[in-house]
Amino acid sequence: MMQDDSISRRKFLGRLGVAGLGVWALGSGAFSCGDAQRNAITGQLLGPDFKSGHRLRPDAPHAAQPVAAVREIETQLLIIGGGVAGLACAWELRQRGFQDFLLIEMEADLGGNARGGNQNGLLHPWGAHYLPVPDASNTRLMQFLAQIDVVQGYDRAQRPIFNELYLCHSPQERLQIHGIWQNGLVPHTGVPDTELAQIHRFFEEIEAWKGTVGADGKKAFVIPAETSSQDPAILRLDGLTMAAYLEERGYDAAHLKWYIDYCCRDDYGMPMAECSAWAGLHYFAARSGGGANAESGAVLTWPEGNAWLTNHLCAGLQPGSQWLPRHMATSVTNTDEGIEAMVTDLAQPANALHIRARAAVFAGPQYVAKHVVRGYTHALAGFDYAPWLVANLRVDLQSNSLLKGMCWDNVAYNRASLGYVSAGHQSLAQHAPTAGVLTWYEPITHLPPTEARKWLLAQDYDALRDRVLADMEFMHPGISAQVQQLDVWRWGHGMVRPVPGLITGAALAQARQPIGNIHFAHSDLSGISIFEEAFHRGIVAAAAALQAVPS
Amino acid sequence: MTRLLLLSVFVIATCGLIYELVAGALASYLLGDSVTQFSTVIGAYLFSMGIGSFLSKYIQKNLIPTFIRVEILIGLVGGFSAAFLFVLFEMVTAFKVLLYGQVALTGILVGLEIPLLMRILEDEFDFKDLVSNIFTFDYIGALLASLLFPLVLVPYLGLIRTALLFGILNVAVALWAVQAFKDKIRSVASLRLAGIISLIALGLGFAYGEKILSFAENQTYPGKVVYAASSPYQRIVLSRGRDHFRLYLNGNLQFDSRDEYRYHEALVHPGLSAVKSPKDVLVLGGGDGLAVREILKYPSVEHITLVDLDAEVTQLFTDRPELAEMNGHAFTHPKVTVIHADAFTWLRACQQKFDFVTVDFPDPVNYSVGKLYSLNLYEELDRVMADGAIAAVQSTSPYVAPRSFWCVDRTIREAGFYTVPYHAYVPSFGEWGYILAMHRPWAIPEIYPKGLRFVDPETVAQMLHFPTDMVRTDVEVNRLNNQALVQYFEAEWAKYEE
Repeated sequence: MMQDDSISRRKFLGRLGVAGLGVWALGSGAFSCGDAQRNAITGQLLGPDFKSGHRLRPDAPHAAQPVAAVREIETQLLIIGGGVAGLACAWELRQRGFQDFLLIEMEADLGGNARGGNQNGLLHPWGAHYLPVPDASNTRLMQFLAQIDVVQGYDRAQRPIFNELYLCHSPQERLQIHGIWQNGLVPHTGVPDTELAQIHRFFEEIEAWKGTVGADGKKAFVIPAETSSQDPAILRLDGLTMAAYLEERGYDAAHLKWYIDYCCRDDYGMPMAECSAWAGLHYFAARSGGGANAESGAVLTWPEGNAWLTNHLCAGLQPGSQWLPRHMATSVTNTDEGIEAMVTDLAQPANALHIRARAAVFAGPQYVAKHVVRGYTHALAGFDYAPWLVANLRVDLQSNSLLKGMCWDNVAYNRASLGYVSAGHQSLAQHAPTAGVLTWYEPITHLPPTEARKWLLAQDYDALRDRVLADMEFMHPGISAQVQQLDVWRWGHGMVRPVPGLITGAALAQARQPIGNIHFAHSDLSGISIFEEAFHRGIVAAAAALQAVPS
Repeated sequence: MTRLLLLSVFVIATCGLIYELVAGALASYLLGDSVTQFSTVIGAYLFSMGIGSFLSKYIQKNLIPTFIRVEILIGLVGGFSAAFLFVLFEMVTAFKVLLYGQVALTGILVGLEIPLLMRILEDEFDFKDLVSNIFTFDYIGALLASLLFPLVLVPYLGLIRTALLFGILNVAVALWAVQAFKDKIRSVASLRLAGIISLIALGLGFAYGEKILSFAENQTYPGKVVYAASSPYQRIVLSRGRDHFRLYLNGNLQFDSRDEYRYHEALVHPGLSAVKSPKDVLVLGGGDGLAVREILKYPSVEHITLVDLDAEVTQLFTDRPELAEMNGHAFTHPKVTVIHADAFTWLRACQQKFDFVTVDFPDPVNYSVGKLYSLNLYEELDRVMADGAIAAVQSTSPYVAPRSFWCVDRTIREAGFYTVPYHAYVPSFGEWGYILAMHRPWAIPEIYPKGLRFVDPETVAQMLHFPTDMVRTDVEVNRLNNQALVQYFEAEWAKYEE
């Protein structure tokens, strides 16, 4: 995918370089669009319901709300949280023929970080937007993917055959660097030979890591991460940062360092100077496979991002009896018979639910678990979360040559943002659409996570819109005039940050342990916020929680 | 002096009519429908002259310098009119606005000329002589222009140089007037300089007129454009030569009426004649209806479904008599249903089965069209094919783009089909390739519909042979996630056209 090059495309991209030079001339992206133009763009500020969420804090001013009526509900199993982990848990239960559960979700929609949206009928993601093709060894996930026709079978060599409608179509990635758009994200345009040699050496090293087996006979880097080798010689990598690892291995090429840093920010929302080297290498080396019709590193993607996957995960869930939107658990307590939970109906805050069950799966992040689970004893040392800013821009494509040569993923070199993906990329339609949605991403890393989160939540719509437009203008001068709508989404706790020591530390191992009949399922328990880990946590928690239910 | 002034009336009258004729001819040439174009151009021109005459009363003093300035301006605006419109035709979308703007401007300026001149001359003649003289020369000039234009000017000079030549004459009149009235006007030097500069510009234009024309024609089309429109999907241009039509979509030749029968007979008959009593036929692409015409030659066919993106193309081939005649009135035939839809999306939703399918998409020139040649498309195609059905796929030129051609073949085979690649010579296209896709072995059909001009058993046998310069090469399968075909196609055609 990265080396998918052809001379003619290079030539083509070279022609686009003229436009790129204009960008260069503008230096650091002089932002020329006027107030009137910006104000003509409609849009809104969106994000998770952190106001309700903050009521869970012990220091919240109005923690105790008067309750008018309490509804008693009994179920076998309560799932708290309808993100990927909670939905995978509910899916697994139903796979096992178990239907007597109730899933509650604080937000109006299921999907968590994988939720998607819709601007004028154009689907787009709000968070997670692709799934790298999993290895065949990730059996439960592959079964799910086969069920929904993403995996269509296996060839003679037992390599999975993926549905090509969902494999990211060509052209996949481009990078704006030194004034021109190059094919692929690994820098090669204007990169000195000595640096190219280092980049080459790095990818050879990754290939070697893919084949590395630890002293315990397990592969060095695997998804789910907990099934990776526990060989101390490999786990020691979790003790240093990715930046330190590069230094240790003698890499000093600026373009390589940018690329690795970009990858750490893209995958973990943090710079490589703060990211665990084990996590950094896991990203590159844990997916060896590809498939019969997919290269290693290929990704599956949909216009609405991973919402396509979560929509399939929750297909068949009975609303009302199996899942409730806008319901927030304020407490979960172990009892002699199992658990009981107090739940607020956020749509009618005076109404509360008292739910009794054999067991519960808390499928939310740990920073919430500690406020909700009574008798919570896990230390959670080292857990922190990266704030993210995501924007969806609807752009006029009719009279627009600015976006010519657009790929699925479009990134600019040396920028705070991660660029944008084109939500309509997988369309099979022939006619040029009149408008398209671009999903723009930036992990907020210019401040430490807590301050960055405060900063992000303090910004108003206009400030965030201008931040997004300034970055888009850098890539495509003049694009603001063609933006019809721009919605921004603030993720306060976008993803867990795998700082050195988190993944191999005692706190994470402890946090995975159930407290009585309350089990935990969330990607932060893997230290890596990806669909596969969240899915895995849901499957594991479902199996564990079922132990408490008499068959 | 007065004689010379009357001679100048004659010259400027000729020039004025020439600009009008140039605009009318150019509009017919570029936009088609000469009756409408000439009529509206002449109407707009005469009306604009009226505006010019009306405006002349507001010019109170400096009559002579104003007249000279108007002459120079007419020379420039009229002289460069054809070059300007030709070059901009392909570059601007609102061409008509530009055309009528040009006509109006020339008209207004020409409308100013005669009233100004009459007022300049009013002291030299009696009023009755003045009117009589001026209009006599005016109409003689008009006659001369209307005879010279079709008989001499267009054949020998072309539209661009004709306009430039008369622009030169207009400016020459202005320069003569500067000379003649140099005692009565103050700004002699500046007027003379303006005239000389204009004369040089027009002269250079005239000398390099051929270059302007070839630049303009590179942008446009051989033959005469009789229809040009932009649909939401593409630019449609129909051009007409002496005895034939050519259809261009986005500048790419779709067919030439002289040899399209070769293309369409080869596309339809080797496959369709091999299907036992075909009933339901699907045509993907092919909005010209020419493949449908061939399919309608099979009496067993009960129903033809044509799926094409662009309603404007099928409408053109339904409404325009000469085009409807060419496709045998395919779109008004009771057996034919036309669906305007995106082929891939339509195919994915299709629940019907067909006995024969022609897949006649544009060449894979970009990633969007490249998806119509992907493994997924052929898998979907398989799903709508009845037992024993055959599909015929247009597959670009195996001579110019062998890797592209064999990539289509490899992709169709990857979808589980048995393929028969073949090719035919279509003069306006060159050596062209097709691929039959099916699940049972195929043999050259012995019997074809009556009246074919190209396809017969011997010809089909020849079509199957691929000489060394078109021989099968090792290529990748075209998948949505590699778009191998678009890359082969781009490389091969770029090399060929170098």
